[in-house]
Amino acid sequence: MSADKPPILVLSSVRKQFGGLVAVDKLDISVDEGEIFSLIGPNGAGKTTAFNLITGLDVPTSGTIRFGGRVISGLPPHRLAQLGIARTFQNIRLFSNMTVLDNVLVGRHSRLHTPYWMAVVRTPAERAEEKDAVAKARETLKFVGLQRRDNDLARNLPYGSQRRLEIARALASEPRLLLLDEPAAGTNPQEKAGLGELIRAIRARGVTLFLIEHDMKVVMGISDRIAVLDHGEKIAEGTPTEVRTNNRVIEAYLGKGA
Amino acid sequence: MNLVDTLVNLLHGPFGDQPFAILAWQVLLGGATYFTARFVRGRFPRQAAAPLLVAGHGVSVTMRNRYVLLGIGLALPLFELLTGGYLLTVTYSIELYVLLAIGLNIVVGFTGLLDLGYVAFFAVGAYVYGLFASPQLYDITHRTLYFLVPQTGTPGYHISMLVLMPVAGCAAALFGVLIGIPTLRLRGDYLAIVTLGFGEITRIFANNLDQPINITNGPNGLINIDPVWIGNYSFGNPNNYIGPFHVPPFLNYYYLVLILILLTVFFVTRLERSRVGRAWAAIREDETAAQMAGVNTRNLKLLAYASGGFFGGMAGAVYAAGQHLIAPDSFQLFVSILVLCMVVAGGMGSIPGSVLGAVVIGAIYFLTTQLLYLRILIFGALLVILITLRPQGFLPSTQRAHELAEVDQDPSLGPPPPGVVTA
Repeated sequence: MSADKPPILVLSSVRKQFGGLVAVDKLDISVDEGEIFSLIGPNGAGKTTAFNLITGLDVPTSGTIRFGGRVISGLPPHRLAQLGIARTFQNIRLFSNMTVLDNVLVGRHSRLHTPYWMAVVRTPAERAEEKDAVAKARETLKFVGLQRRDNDLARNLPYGSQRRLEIARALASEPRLLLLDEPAAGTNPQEKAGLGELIRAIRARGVTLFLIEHDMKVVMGISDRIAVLDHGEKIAEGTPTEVRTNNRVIEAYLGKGA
Repeated sequence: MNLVDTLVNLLHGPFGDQPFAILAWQVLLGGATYFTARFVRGRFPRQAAAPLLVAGHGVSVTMRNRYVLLGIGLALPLFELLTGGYLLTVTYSIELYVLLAIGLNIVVGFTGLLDLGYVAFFAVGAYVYGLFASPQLYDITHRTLYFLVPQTGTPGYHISMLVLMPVAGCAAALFGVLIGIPTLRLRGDYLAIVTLGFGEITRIFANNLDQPINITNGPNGLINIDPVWIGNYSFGNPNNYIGPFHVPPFLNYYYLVLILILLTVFFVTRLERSRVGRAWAAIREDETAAQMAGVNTRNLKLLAYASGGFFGGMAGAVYAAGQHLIAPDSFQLFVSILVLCMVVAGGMGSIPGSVLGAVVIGAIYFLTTQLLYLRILIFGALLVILITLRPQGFLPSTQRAHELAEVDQDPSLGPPPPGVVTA
């Protein structure tokens, strides 16, 4: 929480309504550059909706979202990818019938700039860019620990590796902000430990991380700050220790009188 | 009693000319075919598929040897000339379908957008060539703009194919974008229905656009369309000689379309292996994830429609030149279905597959002309058998093959890898 740097992501009084259902309301969140920020809350609290609003899959009913000082609410997802936001999904959404390498290369799409027609003529510029993209993709795969599986189909990877591949695809766009939607879901304790290390390594690359996570061990172990969402509203925010001892949080998770 | 009579009798059953009884009988036949196919599939899937697999493997080796393939392509019509002209016209028609199948494969196979109105692009290309290379457009301008147009010379604009082919392609590509824009948010069945509608609209439009200004000449279509000509050499002249060798019109067209196919394959292969091809595949696999990965799905879908349309339009222009006349009836829904069958039978998303699918399905279709309407029945039965025995198509792209491996444990694809967990 450095005071000298402006926050990278700011949500101010964001509200999202689906018909009569208010999924997110009066949400204020500010994520600082370089921190690991987690969003937790019971099922149906509106966490994934918040992610969808930030990544452009949904448009907020009211309120604004700023990324790096720029208002981004209403921009389409591929523009946000260009600006430097990448994400993974709660239920893995890989391009399952494409190879591992191609998955990562698609993730790099927003960083490739040669016009489409150049692919037909195969100009030197296009070839150089492709070569560079492949090299960078391999490097990213190595970084997440998926080397030597380039030509496997994504769907043939074991579950934990699929989670890592999704992270690699997101990292391929060289994001400034990476949103991970329940990265630890369905992984075993060993993989969870590895995941914590991976997340810290990603931060060390200068990427700001914004997580949704249910696994308290993971959340408490790696987060700098945590916000708690319940029924679409933020009920607490602070360091892991502060949140853990907060009465409203305990109430939300365990019910009144707990 | 010949084969046709036998089949007609089989199809009508013992019910003479009672239409409803015949209908019921045919439904029964259809059901029997279906359950027989299921039985075959359930009982002997591997044994029955074995010859197809061996053939498929053999062909795929050949298909990958481009020089052998090119040699066959170049030499084929010379053999056919010996058997008289008919086979040559058939081969030429199949060639046009090859071009269409490669184009539709971009939309359906690569990008995963089910398009049942592909014939519209073919029609747009044909009409663009037809209008500018026949007296039709000249007649219109003559009557309405008589004060602007010189009243001398032979009627018609007679613009060269070299100019009109790219124009026809671009017009069809533009048409693809126009169809694409309202259907951007549609997927699967809904998209199929809307594109089917657009295909029909195009045909009906051509049918009725003889009023208030006679542009398409209505159901009678355009006549006296120029053949392709280069300098003094007209492709349509039946008395062309190169040295001592007689060159019939369709031999010219055969080689023209062969060149077009080669160019198209080159163009499409390069697109497929670039970031464009990857983005198309990503849209096919998961559109939302593709968007999040930075793919501008709107532009890339429109690009797919436009590219598919471009090749369809070029094929249409050549078709119009070869036929000398076009009418709305040449652009029935059935053409779209036939091309789609070729793409699916060949293996969606695979360029060699599209080519082979067009050749096989086209050969079956054109060589059963004598069976009249029965050929649709035989055609349908063959498709059922094909889809039962080899659902991934003759030459599937590696991706599609794996996609279907889960459904049908095809021996050629090996066992599924252990430890696959789906979310």
